[in-house]
Amino acid sequence: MLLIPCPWCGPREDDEFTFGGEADFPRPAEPEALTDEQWADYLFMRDNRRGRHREQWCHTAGCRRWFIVERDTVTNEILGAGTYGGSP
Amino acid sequence: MSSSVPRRSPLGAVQFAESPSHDGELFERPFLTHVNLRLDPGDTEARSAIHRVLGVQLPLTPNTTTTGDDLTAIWLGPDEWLLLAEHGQSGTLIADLQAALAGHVASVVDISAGQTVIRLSGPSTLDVLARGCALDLHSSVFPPGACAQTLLARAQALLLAVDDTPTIDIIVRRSFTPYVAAWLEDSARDFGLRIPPAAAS
Repeated sequence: MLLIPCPWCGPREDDEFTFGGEADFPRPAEPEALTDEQWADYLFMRDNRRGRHREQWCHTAGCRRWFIVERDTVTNEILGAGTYGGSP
Repeated sequence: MSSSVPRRSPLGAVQFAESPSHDGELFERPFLTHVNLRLDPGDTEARSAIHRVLGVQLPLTPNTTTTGDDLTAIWLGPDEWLLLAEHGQSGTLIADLQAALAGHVASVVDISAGQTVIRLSGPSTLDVLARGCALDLHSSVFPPGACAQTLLARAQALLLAVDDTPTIDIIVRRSFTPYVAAWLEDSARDFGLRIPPAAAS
């Protein structure tokens, strides 16, 4: 069980959250200008880092907002959380 | 809609009765007015217009509520609130809010029929809820006026601390209500809060 600090609601059990994968993955400004390979890279390819990882979570059973969590993928330690535009 | 259509509360068939031992209560508060309001919290002009309509400020602190004479504003998110008022208020409330919010980007939706309030009260309230809710609801951290959206027995629920009895209002979606009520009855039975079995069938 992870205790995830929602930037709004405070620390809650991970049951209340939905995982949204790697953060900092902006949608291409002009998707129609990309090659199939570039588009597939955006859609499917993620880094799967070992160690510190910035990722997206949604507080589905709470305030229903997406935010960013920095987590160590080895120890599962939560290193910080923040809103988009704020620093985790 | 014809006024001849009988209204039914989500727990209409279930009559929760006061416990014979008078150490707790479990009952539905049906047909209250629930209005969902979404608004940019940075729009101070809109917020003061709403203050004039509601008589209370929208709470900006997470997990808090503000209560006026006949209405409670509940924080649901940084730009989302639930307005809870007595039965039959939604028509005028929504009309007044829409008038006040003209020209602003906002959303006002009547969700009265979509959810209901179950009130659990008595000294064993927190023990009953602790069986299906991980949050610490003790009044030292969840005082009257506090609210929290969380999972209660895996159902999404909005909890409101009403008083120090303690009394907690549990707001659940309509389709989850029979399940949550049955779960509450089951959990309450072990704490002396007995609901007559016939009434809950």
